[in-house]
Amino acid sequence: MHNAKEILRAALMLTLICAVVVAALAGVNALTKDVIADAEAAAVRENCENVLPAAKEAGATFEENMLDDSGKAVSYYEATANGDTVGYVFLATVTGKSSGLKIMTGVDATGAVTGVKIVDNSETAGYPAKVEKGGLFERLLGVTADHVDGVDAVSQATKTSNGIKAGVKEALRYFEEVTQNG
Amino acid sequence: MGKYSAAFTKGILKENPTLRLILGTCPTLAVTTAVISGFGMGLAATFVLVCSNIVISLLRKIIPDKVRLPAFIVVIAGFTTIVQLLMKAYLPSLNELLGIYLPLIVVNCIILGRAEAFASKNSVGLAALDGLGMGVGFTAALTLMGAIRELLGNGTLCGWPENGLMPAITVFALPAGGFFVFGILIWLTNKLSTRLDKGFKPKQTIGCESCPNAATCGKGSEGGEQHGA
Repeated sequence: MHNAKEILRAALMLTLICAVVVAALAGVNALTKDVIADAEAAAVRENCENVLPAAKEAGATFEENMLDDSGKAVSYYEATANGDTVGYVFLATVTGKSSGLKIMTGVDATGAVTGVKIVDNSETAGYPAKVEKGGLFERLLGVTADHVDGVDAVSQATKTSNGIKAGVKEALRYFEEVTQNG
Repeated sequence: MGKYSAAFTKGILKENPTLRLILGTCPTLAVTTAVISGFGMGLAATFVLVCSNIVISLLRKIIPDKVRLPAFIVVIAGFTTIVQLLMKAYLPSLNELLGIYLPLIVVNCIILGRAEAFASKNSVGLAALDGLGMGVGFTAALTLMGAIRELLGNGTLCGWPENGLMPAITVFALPAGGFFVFGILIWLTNKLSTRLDKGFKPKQTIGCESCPNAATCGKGSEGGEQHGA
C-alpha cells in the first residue's frame, strides 16, 4: 500500500505541475495571439508589396484566393484598387540546388513580372546571395511567360538561378490559369 | 558571498557550458552562422535557463524524486514556449532566423543539465545566479562563434558592410566550418582556463576526476576509473 501511495503522490504532483504550466501558457497565448496575427498579416503584406510595387502606390488591398492547378489547390493574392486588378502575387515551391525553394512572384495585370523574392530556401549557404548580387532578380523584371527561358542565370549559382526561373514560370502559368478562368 | 560569486562566474569560463562541458552542441553549430542569430539564441536560452532554474529550485522539495525529470522537462518546455510566443509577437525576424532551433531549446542539455545537477540541490538565489552565469557563458560562446563564422564565411559583421569586409570563405558558413571553429575555440578555452587556474592539472586519463563538472556531480572523488572503457 505504501508503494501505491507514493505512485499516486508522484502522479498527482506531475499533473499539478502540468496544470500550472498549461495555465501560464494559456495566459501568454491570450496576450500574444493578436500581436502575432497582426505581425504575420503585416509581413505578408510587406512581402507582397515588395514584389508588386504598383500595389503600394495605388494603395491596393490584397485578397487571398485559391486556384485549381490540375486538381491541386494553390493559394495566391490578388491586389485590387478601386475595383481594378493591379496585379497578382503567386507562391511556387520548386527545386534549385536543394528542394524547398519557395519563390514569390509579383505579376501585373498584363502578365509581366514586377518582382521576385526568395521566401524560404534550403540552398547551400551563399548561393541565394550570389544570385542576388548577380542581378537575376533585376533581369527578371518585366519578363513575360515566353521569355523566362531566355534570361541569363548567374554563373556559379546556375542551379539556384534555374530554380528561381522555374518558380517564376510556375507563377506565370498560374497567372494564365487565373486570367483565363476569371 | 564567495559561493554566490562562484555560482555566477564558473559558467563564464571555467565551466563554460559550450566550450568546457561541450553541452548544447546542436544549437551551437546550427545557429552560429551570424552574430545576431548566435546572440539571439544565447539570450533566449539564458531566459529559459534562469527561469527554469528558479522554478525548479523553488519546487525542489515537493517534486517527487521518481518523476523529477518529466517535471523538469514540463517546466522547461513551458518557458521555451513562452519565449517562442513572445519572440513571434515582438521579434518576428529573429524568430525566423532561429527557426526550428528555438523550440529545440526544450531539449538543450545545458538547461536540463543545470536543473538536474544544480537547481534541484541548491537555494533559489544560487540557482538563479548559476543559470545566469551559464547563460552568459553560452551567449558569449555563441556570439563569438557567430562573429568568427560570419566574418570568415560571409565577410560581414552583424550584416555590415553591405559588400563585405573581406572575400567570403563559404566553408565557414557551412557545417564543416562550424566544427572547425568550435574545435579551435574549445582548444583555446582549455588553454586559457588552465592558465588562469594554476592548481588545476588536467588528468591525462578519461575519468570523473578530471571532469569540469566534478564539483557539482559529487562523484568526482570516486576517482579516475574510466567509464565504459
